[in-house]
Amino acid sequence: MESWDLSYINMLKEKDENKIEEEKYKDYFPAENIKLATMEIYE
Amino acid sequence: MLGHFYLDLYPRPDKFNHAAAFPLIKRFENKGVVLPPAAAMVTNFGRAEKGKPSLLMHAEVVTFFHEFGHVMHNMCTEAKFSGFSGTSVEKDFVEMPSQMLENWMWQKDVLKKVSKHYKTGQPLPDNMIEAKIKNRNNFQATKTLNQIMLGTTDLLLYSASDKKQQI
Repeated sequence: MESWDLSYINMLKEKDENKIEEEKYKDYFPAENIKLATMEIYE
Repeated sequence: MLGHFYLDLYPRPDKFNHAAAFPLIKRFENKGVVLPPAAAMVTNFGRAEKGKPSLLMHAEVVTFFHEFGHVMHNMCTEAKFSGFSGTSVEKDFVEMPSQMLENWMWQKDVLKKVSKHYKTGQPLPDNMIEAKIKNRNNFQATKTLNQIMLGTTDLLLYSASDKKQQI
């Protein structure tokens, strides 16, 4: 297999792993809180 | 008052299904009278579920701030003519304010400020922020090669004028 293929497969694999990891981050980003943060920027 | 903006964050039937910012009124000034700008930010974030508010992935927070950058670009304009107002600028500059806001979402102090666990109220812990920043450029070379491949295919396909030309 070409190194390009391996690299691409690794990227997809990492993407899957990241999906699980991302769920943990979601708990810290309620949309309404992000909305409030943007209001602060606006003000 | 700089202007007005609307945040249309959640999906509904027949709605535009990507994320974008649309200027609605472009600022202009005539004989000292200013018509303030208006813009709308449209996204399709997941709705709140049972016992859980709408929660965003980090990538979606980046998108939020990217699009909000366009909104701010439209709000902060001082252009006198609507044709030059807000995001009506040279194409190589139009994404600049958005990229600035987008980059904030990769900075520790900003991430601390905007994050808040929906149950505990705690900000993102340091180790999670550091891991996120550390992995930002993972596989960037592979992703860039992929983009080059798409661009090259597009150029070859649409510049081929001779039927015999090999694509």
